[in-house]
Amino acid sequence: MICLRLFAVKMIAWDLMSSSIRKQKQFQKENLGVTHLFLYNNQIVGFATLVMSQIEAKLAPYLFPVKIEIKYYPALLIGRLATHNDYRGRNVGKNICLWCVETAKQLSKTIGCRLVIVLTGGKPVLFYKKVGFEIFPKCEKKLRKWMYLQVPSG
Amino acid sequence: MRPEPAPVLTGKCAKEFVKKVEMPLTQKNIEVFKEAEKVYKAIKKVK
Repeated sequence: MICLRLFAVKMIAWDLMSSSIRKQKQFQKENLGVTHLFLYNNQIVGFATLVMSQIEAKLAPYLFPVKIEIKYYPALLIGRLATHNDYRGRNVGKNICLWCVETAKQLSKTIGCRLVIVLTGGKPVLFYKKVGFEIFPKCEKKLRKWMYLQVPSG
Repeated sequence: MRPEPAPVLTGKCAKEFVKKVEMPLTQKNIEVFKEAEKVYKAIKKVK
């Protein structure tokens, strides 16, 4: 499999995902996210959009007057991840996800990145669970769930 | 606009999350990253 940045591809003949890719192109133009395309035998088999993000945890210790302690955790957000219908069930999605996870680890060496996060719902929740992601506390009952994976230090 | 807003955790949710994140990584988590490293190396990057 080959990975390249969205702008490196001049023509994208992928009807099913073309509207989504158009959106990602706009994000990339505005520097809000970078979409990586994954090719196999010169065909796009999937893509993933990565964005810098952070988790804000507001802790209120039992003190009076209440003083709120805020902790920030820098994170890499998987904005979009999709696999071409023809390549479903071949671990393409899993490999793209693992690629994103390792990208976060590589980033953590230079800019600090504690977590990989994703907002998802429905079937993909099981997919991310299989990869190793966990659902945020108190998010289990929500329709769209925030999920995270810790990035090892060092 | 960003693709998704970043989550803000408050109350018990924040407390539970911070507790989990500050614990050492599990064996499963370490294995995920070992597999991820292999995949990352196997995927050729083109500029």
